[in-house]
Amino acid sequence: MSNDFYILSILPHRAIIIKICRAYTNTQEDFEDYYQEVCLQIWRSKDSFKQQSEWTTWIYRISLYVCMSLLKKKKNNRQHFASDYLPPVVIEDSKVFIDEDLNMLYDAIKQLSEVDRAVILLYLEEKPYQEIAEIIGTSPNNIGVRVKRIKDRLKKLITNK
Amino acid sequence: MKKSIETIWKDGFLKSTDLSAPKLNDLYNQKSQHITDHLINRMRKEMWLMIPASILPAIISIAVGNHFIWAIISFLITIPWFFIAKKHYQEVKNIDYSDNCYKYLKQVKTKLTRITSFNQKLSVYSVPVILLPMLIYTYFNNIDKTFGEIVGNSELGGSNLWIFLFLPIMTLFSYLLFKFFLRVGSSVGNKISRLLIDMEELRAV
Repeated sequence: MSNDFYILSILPHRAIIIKICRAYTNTQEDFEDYYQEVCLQIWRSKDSFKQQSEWTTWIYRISLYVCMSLLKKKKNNRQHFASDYLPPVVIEDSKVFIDEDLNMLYDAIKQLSEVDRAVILLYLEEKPYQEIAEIIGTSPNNIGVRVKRIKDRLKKLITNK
Repeated sequence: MKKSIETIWKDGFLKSTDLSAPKLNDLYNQKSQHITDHLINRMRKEMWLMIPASILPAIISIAVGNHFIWAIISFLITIPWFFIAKKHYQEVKNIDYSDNCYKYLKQVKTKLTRITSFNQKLSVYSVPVILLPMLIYTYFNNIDKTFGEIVGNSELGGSNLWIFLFLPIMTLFSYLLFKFFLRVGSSVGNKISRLLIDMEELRAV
């Protein structure tokens, strides 16, 4: 990946990638691994980017796709790589942000399914239902119902902590 | 809960001003370490598997009624499998990582190709080397018997020379078995190749 591409096209949007990668990883090592894989995939897929959508939407799309794939792959490969094994419960690096409430929210998000995590992350990033639906591949109505359900679950998870 | 999740999110990220991105240059180090760790673990398991594999022909030799000495001979012929596997394992394990990740993976890939080619020859040539003396001995030891009597099924009949058919059959079987294991275990080799292609591609940019 050229340095220019990284500095001009990825680095200004790093917050998106960081927010998403943090929701799919439990350790700093994994986070860095996912972050780098996302950057690599953005660079690889840059030619497929069509100007119809915004560049940031493209970054959301790639980041979520890569993180979900990596997490799925990791779950499948647990038996091959003992060092990768992590119980489903968050066990370390849960205090990555300065804000304690935010750390708690992330811990709760990590207990959701891969797709629910994507939905809520996009919702929290104030993406309209239409755009979330396009990224996830469903209808905006479905997203509305889903967001409500996820929010209720997150509230319960945070309150029960 | 006092704050809504939307507020937690917004306020949280307002406070977390330092969203520093990790360095990118470590990506391939991490990936190659994962892959080679997996490869080395697999090679270690295969090395230990060679011990029962070298005892097996001895057990078969005893089971078909050959003299005990043949079991010992066949064991002595096959036990080098273990030492060969051990040598290969140590060769891969001792590849120097300190230089750089690309050079390291290149070396692992070259070594892996050489080991695969050597093992393929071994899988084909070692069978006749082990089996032929056993079959010659079995043949002369059972010169008056039929093929069926030798294999424990007298109704089968047939000339005792038929036992030499085991030679091409077992050689073919060993070759196919090798090919099967190669297909099963080729994922590591493929991953290394893909990683090398990636790295070469990125170097060209």
